[in-house]
Amino acid sequence: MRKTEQTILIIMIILCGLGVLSIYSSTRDSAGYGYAIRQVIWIALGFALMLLVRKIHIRTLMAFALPFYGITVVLLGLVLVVGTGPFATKRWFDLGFMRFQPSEVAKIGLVMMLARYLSDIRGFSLGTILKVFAMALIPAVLVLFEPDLGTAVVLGIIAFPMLFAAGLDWIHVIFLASPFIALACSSRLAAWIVFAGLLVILLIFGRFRVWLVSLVLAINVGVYAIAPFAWENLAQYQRDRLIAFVRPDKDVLGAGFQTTQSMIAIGSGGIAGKGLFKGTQKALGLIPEQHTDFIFSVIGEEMGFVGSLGVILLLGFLLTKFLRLASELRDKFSIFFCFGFTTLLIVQMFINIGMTLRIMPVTGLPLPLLSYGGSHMLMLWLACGIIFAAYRTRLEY
Amino acid sequence: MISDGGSAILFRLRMTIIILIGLLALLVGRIFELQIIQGAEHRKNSEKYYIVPAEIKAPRGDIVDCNGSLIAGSRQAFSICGIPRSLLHRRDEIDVLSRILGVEEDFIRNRLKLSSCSYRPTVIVRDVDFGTVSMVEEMFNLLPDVLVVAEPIRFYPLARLASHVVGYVGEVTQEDIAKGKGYDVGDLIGKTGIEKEYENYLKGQDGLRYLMFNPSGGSGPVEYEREDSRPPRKGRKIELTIDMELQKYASELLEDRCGAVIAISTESGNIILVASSPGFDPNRFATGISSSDWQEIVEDHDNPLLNRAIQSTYPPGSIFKIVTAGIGLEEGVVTEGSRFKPCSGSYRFGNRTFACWKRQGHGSLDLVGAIAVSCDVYFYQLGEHLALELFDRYAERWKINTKTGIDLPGELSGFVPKPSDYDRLYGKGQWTRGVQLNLAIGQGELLLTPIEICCFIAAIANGGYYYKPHCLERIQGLGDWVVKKPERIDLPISSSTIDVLRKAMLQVVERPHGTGSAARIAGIKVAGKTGTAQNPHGKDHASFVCFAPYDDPLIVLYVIVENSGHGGEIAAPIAGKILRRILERHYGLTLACQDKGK
Repeated sequence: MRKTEQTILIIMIILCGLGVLSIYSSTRDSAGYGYAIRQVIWIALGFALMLLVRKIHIRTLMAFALPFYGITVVLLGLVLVVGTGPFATKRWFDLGFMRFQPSEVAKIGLVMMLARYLSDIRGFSLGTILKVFAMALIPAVLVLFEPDLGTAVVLGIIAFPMLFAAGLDWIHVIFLASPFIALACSSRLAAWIVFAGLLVILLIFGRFRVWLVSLVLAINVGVYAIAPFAWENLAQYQRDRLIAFVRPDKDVLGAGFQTTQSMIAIGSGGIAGKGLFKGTQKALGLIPEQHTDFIFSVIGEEMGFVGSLGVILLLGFLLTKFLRLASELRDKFSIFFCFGFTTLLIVQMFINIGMTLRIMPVTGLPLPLLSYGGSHMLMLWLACGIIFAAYRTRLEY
Repeated sequence: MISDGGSAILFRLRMTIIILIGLLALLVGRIFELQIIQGAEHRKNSEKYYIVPAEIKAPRGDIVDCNGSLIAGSRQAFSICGIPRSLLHRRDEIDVLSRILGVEEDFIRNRLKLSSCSYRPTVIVRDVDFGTVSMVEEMFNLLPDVLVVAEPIRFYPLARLASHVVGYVGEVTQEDIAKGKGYDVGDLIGKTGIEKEYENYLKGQDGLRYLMFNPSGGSGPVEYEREDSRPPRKGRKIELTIDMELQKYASELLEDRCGAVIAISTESGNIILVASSPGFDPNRFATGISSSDWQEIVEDHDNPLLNRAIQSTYPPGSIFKIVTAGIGLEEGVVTEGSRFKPCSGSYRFGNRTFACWKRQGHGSLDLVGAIAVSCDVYFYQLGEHLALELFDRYAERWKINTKTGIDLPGELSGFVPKPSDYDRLYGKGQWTRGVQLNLAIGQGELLLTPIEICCFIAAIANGGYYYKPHCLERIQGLGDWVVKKPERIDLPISSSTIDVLRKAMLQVVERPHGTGSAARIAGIKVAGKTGTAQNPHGKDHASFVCFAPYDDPLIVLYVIVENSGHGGEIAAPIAGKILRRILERHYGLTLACQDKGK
């Protein structure tokens, strides 16, 4: 095993360990060692899976991209029929010993599929871009029906950095992303005007073709116009969460409560934290799903600024390591996969931690390596195994 | 492979790293803002309020009698609860609370420490008066970790009248919790009677709510709505076959004497009346009984917790002569008209003299006559002619010493001795055949429960079968009522035997010198049998069993009054009165006034 791999593994295991401690801290009053022990088992299984996958040749794994993607899409369809989940959602298969969450696996399936497709194309046409979006939208829409807005958004977003990595002009990436940014800004007129102004300036001074300028503008205005209708179609809890994000102080006891509590918990940690297992906010059932989505609030409260900074630096170091590893790879599939997976983790990490700090809306996205969850853990280690497999065989190209 | 785009890719990877660093900086900046700049303020806020999950206790299902009158219901009571985690650290708060509640500070601490969950409201004192409630609520500033919780408390409006049937509720034991049926410390569970038997239906489903506390004072706990908040679901209503009016009447007739009365419908096994005296007030248990109250009940010599109808075994006395006669008929030892040596008031067997209850003797009697006047000498001679093993064999066949399976917990089974039992009791060869003479008249080691006797007599009344006795009429289902079909039990007993026994039982009541003539009802033929069981501790137990009407039986009734005298003098008149009331109330029979009948 190479030094790069060893460094990555050490950081991953440290993060997993901190995760287990935090999970134990947040669940010991209600479930004792239960969750922590299960998490350790998942880590061990994931580690074994990584060692196994690492031995497979990257070209074999590449050949698996399409069937793997296909299977994940089928599973996402199936979970809508036989799945279970909290509050009448259909997010996981109840297998007895675990709740298998196909949307976690779909993340890898999609990244593999996109890497596979983009490694084959030469140059970009409208057709290839449409195909890339189609590939991303199939699982994203299925996940949206579960419904799991957060994961759906992440699945949709992942297409942009992968197109970017594959060499699409960055200005085109911005054009493609603009409708989504417009959507995000649509709730506040001022924000939308600023964004639209910037876009117009870019379009005017960029000296693009008239049809492209008109199309981008038309789409953006269109998105802004239909946003209210889309809003009508969101589930109440999704609306609450979005409202809570935009106006968190409006209703402390309503949907903003969760994030406000998380913010208070983290803030009250101060410099050194309240000490491991000594958090006062977490044990009182203040923050639901604290061992999964809100794990960072335990770290913030109990380990303070020192601990939070440490966790963020470790995550940053790990993600940078992955990106550097990508730069050492030779074939496009490996590079795109490694890059796509890393950006996926960056997005998840930012949304998750941002949510506990109340700078992002509440979604059900796990914090990579730290949150409790079997599917999430196995997914991470599987991807890590694929990246190591690519790294191991990089000199063959 | 990537020669042309290699540097481009490197550039894009570097750009991504820069974006990553930017995002991380944003997060760190925000964390710095929250923890370092605003840290002190948030720490203050973190102590300002907290939220706890609290169960809302579901009221137990109502229990009503066959007329719909309430036997067990629920009333709203107020309990004072505390949050162990925070309250245990607040000495001043505990001090204030102990003064308001009038309990020791250590009592409060112990209650809180017992709780299985440190942040859930734990009951400190149940069912406090309104003055205490308003005091606690007015002083919320001094008591930020205390709350008043409205809880349903079991309430028995008829108090001791149905105590044994309905039973009582009490706090769960560690064993109940270990069974994992969702009970926690302090929960109430049915301990005896119907409350225990139908616990699963009665208990209902607790609700869940969230409360926001403000430890720094300023306001009391506020309700906080969450996705999994849910209202409690009341337990299912249960309707019994019991008639509380009759229950009341029976306990009036028993006065303060120890005893039991059972009335069962022969057509369905419905228990119309099952009284056991003395009773107890189940309300005393409803809020958790105090140890002094418990001592008082347990140390009572009359044992009020005992349901004498199903948990007491008595020597059946002469009632057992029906069984002895039945065995004799089935075995062909006697026929309806068989006569033995005339009764002279006593019978000599070996070197022992066995006395008849009538010193001057009954003279010569056939089987029917011997039952009617309950001649002991006749049955000593019949017993002598039967093999000892037969008693146990037939008892088993006719389920006389078998639990009837009544839907009340704690039923005992009777005891009909076998030869091996005598070996065990007296040693091999240390007992004589005299024991079977005593057995034949229902004395000696023989013990039966009142309900077992009732079931056998019901089979005689019906002509060979009876329905399993039960108190449950129906349970409220999710929509409709759920009714259980009565279970029929057939006994292997020939119809000719039954005919003779029925005829004899009719003579007991109808014949001029029949021992049960006090149970006579004008216009209705009643068949019965008296029992007077000798008992080493004081006067005899008087008992009487009967069924009526003779031609088309509806009811089996059994009465026992402990230490009161002769069955015919004490138990039979009570049985007659109750029987009359039942036939009028339940079968719409209009009977002539008792005085006219005489």
